[in-house]
Amino acid sequence: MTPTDGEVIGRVLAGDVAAYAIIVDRYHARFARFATRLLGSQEDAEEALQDAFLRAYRGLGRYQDRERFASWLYRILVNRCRSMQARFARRSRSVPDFESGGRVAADDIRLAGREEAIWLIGQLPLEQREVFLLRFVEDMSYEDIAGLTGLGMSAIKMRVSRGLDRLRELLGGERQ
Amino acid sequence: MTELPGNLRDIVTQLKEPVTASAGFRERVMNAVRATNARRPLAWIVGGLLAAGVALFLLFHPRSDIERPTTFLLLAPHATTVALVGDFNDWDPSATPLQSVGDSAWFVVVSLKPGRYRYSFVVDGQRWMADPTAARAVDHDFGPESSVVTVLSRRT
Repeated sequence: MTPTDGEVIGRVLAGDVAAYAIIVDRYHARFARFATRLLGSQEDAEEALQDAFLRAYRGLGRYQDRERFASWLYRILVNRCRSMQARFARRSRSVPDFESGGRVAADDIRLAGREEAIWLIGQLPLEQREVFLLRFVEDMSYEDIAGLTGLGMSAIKMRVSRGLDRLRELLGGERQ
Repeated sequence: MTELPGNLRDIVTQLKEPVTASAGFRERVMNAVRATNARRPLAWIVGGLLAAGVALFLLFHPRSDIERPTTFLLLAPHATTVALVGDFNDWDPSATPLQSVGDSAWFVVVSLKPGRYRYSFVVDGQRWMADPTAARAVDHDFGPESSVVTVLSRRT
């Protein structure tokens, strides 16, 4: 029978450090997708995710609600991604050209595949991209997003709405 | 997905495609996990030296009216992330993350021009808290309680 997160964490805390690999295997695919879509780079995403797994491990002994481990890990990852983005911004790296304003020429968008979808989501400012991904790609409720991000419901809905408007605008630019 | 128009659904479908971890990711995580216990005593020593260095720098920094490095410290043993928000960064929780030292200490050094600033810490991205070692702001208008730091133009 597959052990629950709480059971695995109990083993880790009892000294079976190798059991933590079960946690890594269980969550890395889902969380790697979120971080990759958010940061736009698998390399950066894996750095953030590795750091999140490590911070979660360090905090295991203090974390009481073991069966809600996934939510906790998500929260750590979201914050690591934010920190990484802030670092990139200071280095003037990874700032999409589109954030400076303007409109994308129709020829620049070809919604034929994943690469284009990734490019499109990359045109959203980070705060809109984050909630868009959590809401529509990770299928989270607004309540869960509020719990993960520390944002109020109205702020989340506003960011989602603005993100949708922005994407519609980009798509409109393509199809006009 | 019901909020999404059809063309955006196509995009979301693409974004939902799985991302395969690079080879060796699991091993890298587990190696880092195993190494973390061995590094803890060293982290405390390095953290202590760093804090002492910053304190000495602040003590003997030459007089000037230009930006001054200002250290913010918080002991938060249960935190996984801590950020600094204040008048100087538009209260943006993603702008100024603190670095952890050991298991409980967090710090960041921010260059601030002389003046009075209100600030708070954001623990784990959710919990806003005033600095327990600093004066409380009485005119905070950004929701939760905040603290005040005054950066002097000249040392006395």
